[in-house]
Amino acid sequence: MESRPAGQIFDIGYQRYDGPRQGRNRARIALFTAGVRQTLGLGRGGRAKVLPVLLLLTSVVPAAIILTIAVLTGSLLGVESRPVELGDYFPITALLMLILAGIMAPNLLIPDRRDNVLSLYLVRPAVIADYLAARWLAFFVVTTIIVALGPLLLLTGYVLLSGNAWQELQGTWREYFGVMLGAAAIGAFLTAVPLGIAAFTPRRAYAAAVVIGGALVISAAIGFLTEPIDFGGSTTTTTRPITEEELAVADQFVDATRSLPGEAETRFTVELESGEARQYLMSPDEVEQALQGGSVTTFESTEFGSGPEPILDPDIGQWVVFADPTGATVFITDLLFEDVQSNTYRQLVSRHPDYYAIIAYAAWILLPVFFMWARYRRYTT
Amino acid sequence: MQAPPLLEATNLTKRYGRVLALDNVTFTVGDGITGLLGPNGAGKSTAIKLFLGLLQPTQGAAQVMGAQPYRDVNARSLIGYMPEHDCLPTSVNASEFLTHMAQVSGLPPAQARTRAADTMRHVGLDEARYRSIGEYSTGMKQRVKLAQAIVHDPRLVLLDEPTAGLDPGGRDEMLDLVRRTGRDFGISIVFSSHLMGEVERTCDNIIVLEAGRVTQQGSVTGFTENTDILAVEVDARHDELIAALASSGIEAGRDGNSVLVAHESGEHLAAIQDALIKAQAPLRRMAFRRRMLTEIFRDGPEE
Repeated sequence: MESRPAGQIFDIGYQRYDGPRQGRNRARIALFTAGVRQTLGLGRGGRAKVLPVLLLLTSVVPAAIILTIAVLTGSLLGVESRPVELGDYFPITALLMLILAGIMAPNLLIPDRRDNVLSLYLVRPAVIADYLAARWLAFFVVTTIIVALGPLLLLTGYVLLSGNAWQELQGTWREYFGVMLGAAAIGAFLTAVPLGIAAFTPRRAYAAAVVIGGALVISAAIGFLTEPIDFGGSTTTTTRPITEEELAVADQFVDATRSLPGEAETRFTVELESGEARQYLMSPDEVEQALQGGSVTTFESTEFGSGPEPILDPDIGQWVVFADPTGATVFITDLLFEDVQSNTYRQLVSRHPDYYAIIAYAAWILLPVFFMWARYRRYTT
Repeated sequence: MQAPPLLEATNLTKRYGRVLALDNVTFTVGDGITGLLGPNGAGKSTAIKLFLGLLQPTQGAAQVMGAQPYRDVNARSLIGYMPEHDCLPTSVNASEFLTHMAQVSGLPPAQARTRAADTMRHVGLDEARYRSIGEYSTGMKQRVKLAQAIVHDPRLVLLDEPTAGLDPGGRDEMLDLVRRTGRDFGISIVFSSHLMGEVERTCDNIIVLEAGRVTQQGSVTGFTENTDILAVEVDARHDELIAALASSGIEAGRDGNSVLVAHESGEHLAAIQDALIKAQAPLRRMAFRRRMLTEIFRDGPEE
């Protein structure tokens, strides 16, 4: 069968390779592993490790600070008194992480095109889809893990500080799951968008500039267009026990808040006989619950409705907010953690059913992936 | 059963829009070192890329060891490719790069590391293995390019203009490395070049491409054997020497300072010696002149 000429032994001895050849699957694994190593800067100089370390610090440092403060102030007595809820943690780091990912991710695609390394891959047992998938997954896995570390640290801190860690852990395993899911949602976003842009820019700096500039400009512009600029308002105060009718009025206010951000915002301060005062921003159920819990002495409602309107009509604004790159992941983590929207323009999203946010998020992931694929299709094999 | 040839082009045609890069060519390549010779734009790179599966043929088939790399991804495991253009990453060292490339070719990690180290030794990169490739000289980069093409110990490597951009010294070193890869390592090689001298010095077989067509093919020795003539180089009295040869019944012609004699048998040598003495021609040197590929190339096809 084989008619290979008998190779002579060359000085130190060239040896033919008779070991296993694992073909395409090995090629895929190798491309993925190399992508992970490149993202983390392993096997490269010290400078290549700066950005992954910064990303890690971005994820972890806020959690460390929050926990430190919690310990120092001793305010942490149980889950109920968490200084920062998990759902609020993700938005803290979202923008900075997008900026860092915008600088890091293009490194996985652009040098291979610029240096023509791509042609060396394509004559090996891998096709362009293998290459793209391996690179995408590599960055996704690394960012997801890094993004998860911060909230995991925070959650674990809360569990350990709760006094009864074991019992607490059993109550929070769902939250651990939620953290991983939220981190994956953010990881996918941090991968899809910068890689999608990097597929089209000839230099890494351009890709980073587009990601960072785009994120900052778009998110600032949308914020400016949809946020009411100023609040005016009137205050109604009653100093007697409130009636059922008044509670119904309160509920109406609450509904108004949910449906018309910027047009009306209602805050209830309910003072109980015990002297405890509670503020309610949005939940009529909670108001009702509190009112049933004791006899109420004071009911204060502040209506913000007469202030200036946001520049963009909320009917348009409710759609525009989906285009905010820093918001896309927050909508998802808000869903995951059933977080209360404190940011007015993001409340616009809560006008829609939940799956609208999911569709918008999916578009943020799938469109860049599609364009990346379209750009690379000309590398035929 | 006969093993399929290493490379087989069957009515292979490649068209880029209106430009016909390869025009219905059919040829096979077997073991050994094969030169793909032709001027720039003759279709050499196109042919190589078709065999590698980097391009899809417009018509016909380009088969490597009986498979079509364009369709059969795993068939590429036994092929190596050294592109003409730059193709190296700058930020990693040669050791890391070659190990990675061996793995992408399908070798498990441990074996890939061993092969990378061996290959670097064979191409003479041993002492530079931990420097990043961006700092290498052109000659060293060219060695890395060759190393990545053979790191997985392919059956066949395709080298696209391996000496492009090298100075004469680097060119000789690279050709020497190509010869060693082919002869000592036992890896069959197809390499393209527009320089006939390179192909003649290095190759066993030759395929000449011109304007998308194969104009000649065969073994290099086949091209040059049986055409041996004896060149008698004298400093003066050329005509006298030719006359003296003629009187001995030997036909001779003149080419510059040389008097050319068709060499048929050893007996001529004695007659030539006599003629030299008779003509008082100051002999500079006497050597067999083999026909050069350059002449074949100039004269056109010759069977």
